[in-house]
Amino acid sequence: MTMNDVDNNSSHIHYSPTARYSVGWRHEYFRDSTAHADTAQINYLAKRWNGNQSQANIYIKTGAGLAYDESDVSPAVFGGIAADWETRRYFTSYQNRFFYADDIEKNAQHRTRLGIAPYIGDTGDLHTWMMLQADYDAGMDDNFSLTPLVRFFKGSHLMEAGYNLDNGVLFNYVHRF
Amino acid sequence: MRYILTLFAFLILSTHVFAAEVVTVRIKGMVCDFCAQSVTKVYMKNDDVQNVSVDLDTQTITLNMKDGAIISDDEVKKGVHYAGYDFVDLERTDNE
Repeated sequence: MTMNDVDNNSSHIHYSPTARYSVGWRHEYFRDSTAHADTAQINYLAKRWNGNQSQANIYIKTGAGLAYDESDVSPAVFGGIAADWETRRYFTSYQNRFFYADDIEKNAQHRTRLGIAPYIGDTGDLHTWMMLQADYDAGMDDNFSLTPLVRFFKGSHLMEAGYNLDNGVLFNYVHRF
Repeated sequence: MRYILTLFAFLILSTHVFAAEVVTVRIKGMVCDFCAQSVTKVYMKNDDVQNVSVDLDTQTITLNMKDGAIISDDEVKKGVHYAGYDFVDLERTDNE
């Protein structure tokens, strides 16, 4: 999957041996500090609630690797929690991420999303979501930003596109295989 | 005559023995196509399953088994849990 948001661009590839966890690799570029990081990541599904037409999850995400810029290299670690609740019509999520790589890059991010599906499609149809994402980044000059976005979802492909007046384009793509 | 009757009875019974079974499973927690794909992948690993269809509206998965093949209740439940969802109940019919 590839992601581009208020502060960084990232690419991820993950493998899920079971529904409980995934392991993978992540490369990211922090636009403010012009630093890069390559990290191994584990996502663990700590708890899931399966409702009649709903699902809620809590994930723990953590990783470690190296961060580097033009002149320096440093070990990097990060961790955070993600939670979501969704039905086929409504979506809400919250996640945080705390990243530390000494003087190269440090950040503490919080993100929440609210979404609604204007129509409910059948299995295999093109699914569309309208979402609003709110970000808070303690390390940025503009701590708070809002990004309206649209999500398209068909089969094993998911794409999100949005525009934030302060930070530009948001684009995410996930391919599940 | 007895031979013909025996043969006839065998032919009638064999259509039921070798008919393909259809297992309809109700589960909880499926809300999107990624959910449907997870569940489909789990059951398609079973060589006895011909195909899998998912209905998100009714929260059901339908397992079409190969002719003469069976899948136990335990295997069905394990598959649902392995995919990350909750099993509710199942129903078996013959696909004639």
